[in-house]
Amino acid sequence: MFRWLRRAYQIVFLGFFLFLLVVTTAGHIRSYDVQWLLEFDPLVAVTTALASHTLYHALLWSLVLIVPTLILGRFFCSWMCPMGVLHHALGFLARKRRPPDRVKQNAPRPSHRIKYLVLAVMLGLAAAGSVQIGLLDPIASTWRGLATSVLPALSNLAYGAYQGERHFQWGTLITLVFFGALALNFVYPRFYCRVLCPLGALLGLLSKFSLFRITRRPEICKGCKFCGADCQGAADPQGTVRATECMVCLNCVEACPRGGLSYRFLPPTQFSTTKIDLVRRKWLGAGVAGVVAVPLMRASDGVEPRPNPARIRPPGSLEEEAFLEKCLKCGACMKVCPTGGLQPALHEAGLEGFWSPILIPRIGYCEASCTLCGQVCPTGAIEKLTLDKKVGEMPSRPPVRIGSAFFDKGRCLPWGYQTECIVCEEVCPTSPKAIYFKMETVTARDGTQKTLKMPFVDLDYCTGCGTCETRCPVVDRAGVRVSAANESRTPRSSISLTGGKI
Amino acid sequence: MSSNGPPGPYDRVPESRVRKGSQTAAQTDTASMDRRGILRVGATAAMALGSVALGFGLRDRGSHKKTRALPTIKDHRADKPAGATDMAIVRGPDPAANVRRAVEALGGMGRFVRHGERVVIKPNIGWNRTPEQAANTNPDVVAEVVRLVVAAGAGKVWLTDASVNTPEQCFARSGIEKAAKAAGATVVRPDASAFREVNVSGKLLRTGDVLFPFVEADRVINVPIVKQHGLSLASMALKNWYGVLGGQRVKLHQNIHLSIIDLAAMVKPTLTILDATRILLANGPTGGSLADVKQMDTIAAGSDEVALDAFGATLLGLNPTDVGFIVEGMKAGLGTPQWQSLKTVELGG
Amino acid sequence: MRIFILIVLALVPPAFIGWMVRQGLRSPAPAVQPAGKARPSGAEADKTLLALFQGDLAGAKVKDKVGLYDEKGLFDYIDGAAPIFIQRHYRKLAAAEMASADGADMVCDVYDMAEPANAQSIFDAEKSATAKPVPDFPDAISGPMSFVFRAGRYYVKLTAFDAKAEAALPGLAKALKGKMK
Repeated sequence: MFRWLRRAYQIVFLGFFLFLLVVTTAGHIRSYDVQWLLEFDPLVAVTTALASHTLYHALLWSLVLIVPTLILGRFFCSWMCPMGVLHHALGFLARKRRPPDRVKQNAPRPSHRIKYLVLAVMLGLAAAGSVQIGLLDPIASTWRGLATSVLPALSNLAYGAYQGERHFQWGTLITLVFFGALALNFVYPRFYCRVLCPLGALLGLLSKFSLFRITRRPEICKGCKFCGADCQGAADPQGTVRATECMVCLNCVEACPRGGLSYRFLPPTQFSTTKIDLVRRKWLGAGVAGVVAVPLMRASDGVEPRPNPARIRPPGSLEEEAFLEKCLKCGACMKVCPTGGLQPALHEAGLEGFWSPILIPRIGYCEASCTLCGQVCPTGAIEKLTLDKKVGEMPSRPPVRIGSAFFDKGRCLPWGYQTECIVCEEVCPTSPKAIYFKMETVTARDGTQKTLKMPFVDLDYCTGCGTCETRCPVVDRAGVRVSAANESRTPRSSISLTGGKI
Repeated sequence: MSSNGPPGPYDRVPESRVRKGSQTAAQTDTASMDRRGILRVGATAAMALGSVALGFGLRDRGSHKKTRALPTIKDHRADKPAGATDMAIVRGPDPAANVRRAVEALGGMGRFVRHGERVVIKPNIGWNRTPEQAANTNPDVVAEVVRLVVAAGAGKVWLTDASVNTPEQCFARSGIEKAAKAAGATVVRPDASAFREVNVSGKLLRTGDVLFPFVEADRVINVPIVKQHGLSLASMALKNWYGVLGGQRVKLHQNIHLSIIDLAAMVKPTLTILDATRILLANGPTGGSLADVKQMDTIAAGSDEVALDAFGATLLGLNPTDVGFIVEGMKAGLGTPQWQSLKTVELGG
Repeated sequence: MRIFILIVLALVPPAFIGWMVRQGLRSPAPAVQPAGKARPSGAEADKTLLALFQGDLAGAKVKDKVGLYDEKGLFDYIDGAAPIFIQRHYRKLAAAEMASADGADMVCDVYDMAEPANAQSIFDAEKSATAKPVPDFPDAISGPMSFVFRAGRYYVKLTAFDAKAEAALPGLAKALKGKMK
């Protein structure tokens, strides 16, 4: 009976997760807390707290998952995790037919220890200030896979009916990783959950303290091993139940023909184990590897001092070092961005910033009256902005700047081709406009004099929104382009003396 | 137990068949709330409470910007004794002797530095050049100033500059580091950790990163060299204060004259010793060619930087009122370009 | 007992989802209106502008009449220089040809920039490298044949055509400033 409840939970939570994901668009998001699951995710809370030495207030919700896991065990993996539900479903489809073969598929393996090493490496990286957990965290990965790969593909198939035409640079990589993980279920069910998932590892560690466990009564047991045929966690219910692997799916309880398995409070410890079978040396080694990797990575491409001009961060982003201590690369900001300008970085933010959000103005600009990216960010890597703070009020209160526009006078139509244009000035959203024009007289090809409006950028007013670059009629490389210089989140990046800070 | 083939799904063992009374049965039937069980519950409860406490303890309470009050650099000027000389100009073949005689004419270093005070000496060590190329202050001049300050009983003597070229090479090639160390100064390299954020509170500049000796010293002694400069026309005493700044000071050139004065007004030095032993007439402030250098064997000293710079401007063949920062300095009340109108002593030699 | 737990657990998801959806459907906070005050009403402000040209102006007198130029008219008056005023929310220009006490010709342009910040902004923007600040007159610069100053929300450009007129400019400026409250 409880197994049916578990299935109901799976369907309901996956459904709600998908609903919130689909509703994360400018038109529909309202005030939904679309990131509640990431806010519940203890792995996110632990790693960002380790890296930034503070806990973002929304992440306090993780306690709602931590405390019940300490009591009830690793129920999240089979009752609530969306990645878990998908893998469970696929694992079910891919399972072998005969029960004895399934028992072999679901047998515990030495490779199931790998996820604990993955967790150790991730914690080591976080302790040294680099949060990479989003690459493997199941919820962040599902978000990213669906938001930047699956949903855009579906939307584009429907002629952009959902969010318009959406494209994410090198999204194929994300697709391959996401579906690759799903495909591993054809090796054996829930491969990812058992071998790689660092959240599963963390919850497994917490389960060491669990007061409720699956236990087997050996005096009733006949050794038929039906219990092991559908065990999701490969927790060896037919032998000594591994409490750290057990996902409380309750398949074993229902499968036993004699009622020999039950989930109960404080069962005797001789029939279950919480050992993880990893030598301390391996744990520590993995953790140290994570810690040591950070300065090595940063020696090759540092956070500063040679910032990539293409690293235009969303408005409200923290300074880069703090940003990398929080960004999960979950893709929520990329999904909600109304113009589709926020894209997953490849090399623009260095190795650490792989798949973190950058604005590519040629694809989409930052809508001046929009603050949605900060609204959906679960860790506060992008701070919530009010419209007033984002727009500011010149000349006394500067706006939030994400970069500055620069004219390429060889490609701009008035400058390079003596042709009237100034679309950039027309669409510039600031008041007064950051792009202004001056009348100049030029000589055309046929020798006649033409008076044109020539555009210029006033760096004191430009916010780097990129509307000019998006709309520039020179379609491949625009005649006016935004780069990250002068972004307000990095004091050293400012170009102008106005404002009085060196 | 049924023994007819493999068990079916509903083939459960009736309770009556379970061996009652055995240890195993008793243990598996009831929860083990013995001592072990209580310990386990306690451990779990401790973990739970610990997580909650940690979570709430680490919770961030709002803004990341820690607004701490920034230090302000104090006024380093010394009181002027009645009847004292304002400015001394000394000419002679020995730079160290010129310095000694100039300071003596002003009343001795004791007028400027009290016993036990902490002093920072700021030469121009901006460029990777030899002393003959006249891009940095003459090392003999610097060494003599250090000696005089040490002799006056200073508690701490720092010597520093935020070089434009790589500091290790500038400090070495100029000869200044060696000479200053030998004379007893503590040389401070402009490493990233040596800067502090301070209030500048100028017309143009609100805050800036400044080398720590300028924040901590009681007295500041400026030891600049006289050079031509492409943008500001000259680089002498007032412009030497660029060298206290870190950060993106290349932005200052957007309004060079006002920024020079903002910095000079922030530092308000005690004493300036203007090195005109060799001056750079062209291709400044970097120099390079000896053909641009002129031997003048002159030292000028005083506490009015505007007056000293006006004097230095004449050595370069410039009209002081043509130099923007001299006019701005006068308007800001930092001194007067009419150095002849001050109580000046000129010693030839 | 088991049934009780079953029911409680069964109620948790709908309760949770219901609460989340209720939170989500809450209307977002009203969009913040851009800060700042709206411009003063046209007729009132026009009257104030014109009043500046009346009364004692250090002996100077308006020669013909004071012309009022709104955004459209500004292009006719100063052509390509118009956008930098319009960008800064300029409201109206009052311009007049004047004669100084000893008959020299001057032109007086008073821009009502609607807000002091806008007037400061245009003053900073138009400052030329050759103009010099005027002692005892804050926010003013004088150059050959010209005197420019800002007072409150007004930005004033005075132009002379000979040495006699040039000498009269500071006096006129002071008088005008005195009327600007």
